[in-house]
Amino acid sequence: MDEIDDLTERLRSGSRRLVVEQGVRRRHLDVINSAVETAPEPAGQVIGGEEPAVSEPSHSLRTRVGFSSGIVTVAVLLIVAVSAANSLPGDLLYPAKRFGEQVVALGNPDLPARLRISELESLVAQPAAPSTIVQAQRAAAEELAAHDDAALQERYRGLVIGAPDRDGVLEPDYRESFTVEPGVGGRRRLALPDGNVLELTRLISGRLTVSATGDWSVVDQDEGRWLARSPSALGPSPDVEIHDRGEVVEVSIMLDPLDRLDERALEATDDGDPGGDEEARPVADSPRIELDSNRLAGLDETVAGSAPTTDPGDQPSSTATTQPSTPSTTRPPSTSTTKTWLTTTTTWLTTTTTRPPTTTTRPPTTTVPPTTPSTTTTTITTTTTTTTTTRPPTTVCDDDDGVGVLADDDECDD
Amino acid sequence: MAEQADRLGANHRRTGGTRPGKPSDRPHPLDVLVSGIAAQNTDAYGDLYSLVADRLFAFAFRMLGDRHEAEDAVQQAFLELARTPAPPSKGRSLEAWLFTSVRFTCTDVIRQRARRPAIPSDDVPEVDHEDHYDLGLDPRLDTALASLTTQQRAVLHLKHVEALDGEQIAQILDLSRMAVYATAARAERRLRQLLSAPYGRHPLTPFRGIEHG
Repeated sequence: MDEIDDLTERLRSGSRRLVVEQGVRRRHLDVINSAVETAPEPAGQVIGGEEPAVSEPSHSLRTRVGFSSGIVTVAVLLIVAVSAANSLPGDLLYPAKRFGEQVVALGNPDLPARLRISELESLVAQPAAPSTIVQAQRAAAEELAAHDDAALQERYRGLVIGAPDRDGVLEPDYRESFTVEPGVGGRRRLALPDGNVLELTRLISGRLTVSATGDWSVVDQDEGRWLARSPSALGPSPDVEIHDRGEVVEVSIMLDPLDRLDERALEATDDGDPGGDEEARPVADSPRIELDSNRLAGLDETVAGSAPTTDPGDQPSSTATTQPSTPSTTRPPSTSTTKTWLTTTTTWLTTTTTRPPTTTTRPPTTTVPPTTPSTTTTTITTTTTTTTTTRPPTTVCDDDDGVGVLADDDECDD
Repeated sequence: MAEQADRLGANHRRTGGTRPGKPSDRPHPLDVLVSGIAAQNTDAYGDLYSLVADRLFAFAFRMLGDRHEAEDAVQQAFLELARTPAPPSKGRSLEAWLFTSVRFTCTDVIRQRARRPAIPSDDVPEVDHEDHYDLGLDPRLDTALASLTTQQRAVLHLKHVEALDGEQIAQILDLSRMAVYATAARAERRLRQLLSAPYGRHPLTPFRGIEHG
């Protein structure tokens, strides 16, 4: 270590005298200063504060550059247009397709409608997201509204998902319950028995809104549940209950509409109506209700959900068990109850021929013709001949209090 | 600025460049000059020359053994600095840049010597011994150094005189640090042997231009 230190000291002492002579130093500095003064300016500095001279491109060069830019632009546009020809809503190039479509539509006004239908078919075939399909359906509906083309209308009807003819018809002769899927951002319109329309709209936020035309109003509303009623309906006007169960909405008729008829009959009786015979009038006026099951066919603007509505006949058993709401023995006894009971019983007999009975005490009858689904108007007719012949098992008899009760013949005898 | 640089430079020379702390964190005497160098300020070049010219000359002289060639190497380094479009932005880097430039120049000179045709002995000019004695150098040390390779002399000078660490020496000489350490070890061992031998008995051949009478 000492030898290294001694070596270091010896090397340093030997180098201390190695200095540049003054004459050489001055000569070096002159050369260096001249080199610094003639050296190129560092990048970013302007010599003498003057703006650098920029040569203008020649006319031929500008022409060449402009021509090349135009060719490149046209080529890019063509490539984008070809690439976007088969794009669908939600694709990156779809806006380019819509833009080019506007240009082509100047000479072919039906093109947008055809393209919207084709896009909707492609989205359904994929299948795409429900929200995308709903948007495509709206776009197609808008285009079809502007162009009256029967072929396109037919194609569109075939694409409206979940909107078979029988969907949305509330038959008021029994408690009906089925589900509707508005879908996110979708809307379903249901024909009510009195001709008004119940509209269910699923907002983008997932919230469901319920509205109805005419004098229908939501008389009760709870969380996820609505009860709609038309107090001044002249025809059958049952209460409608709507349950929001997430993706599906369950719509039910809560009350047999004949109760309302019966109430009107009672009021007429109280007011001195000539037909005040309590025994004959309600039975004679027992209504038969025929509803148009194709009512939705007239609702072109219906926006269906992404899944078909369940056919009432295909309801699961759990739903079916909740259907019967017709005559119940728990009804409070009164003088008018007898008439009501008879009326509703008759109604049940005349309108549920295609449906198995929901109670075991009343066998179904086969003498009443089924409702005709192809009828296009809601009619209320009364049948007067079927009541006594089709109800052998049960009889209405008065008890001691004058209240009509349902009993077998032998029970009346007792 | 120049006074501060002189003070820092004088301290650097006095302590042999040995300073505590991490090298990259320590202030360098040339830090105050880098902005002027970048702006092509002649005053900054003058200050830089006064600070490092002697050190560069000593390094070049140790590599070349010739005063005039060493002076030319120093001038060439400053001229290249003036021409470079992007001079170093830190004093430490600027110092290394100058030493590297001198090393390149010295390497070129040595290569030119190798390509130079041999001169007949009759035409060998007389060596001006007075010029060498004017430097006041240690003839025994110079004779020992002349027996080493150029790379060994450069490593010894940068290590013992300039007090640079292995990384800096490796950067200047374009070597790995292990090569620097190995070269320094071999050079020190060889130099120690030569300096400890009785004067006049070691088989050294004087370096060109450093002949002693």
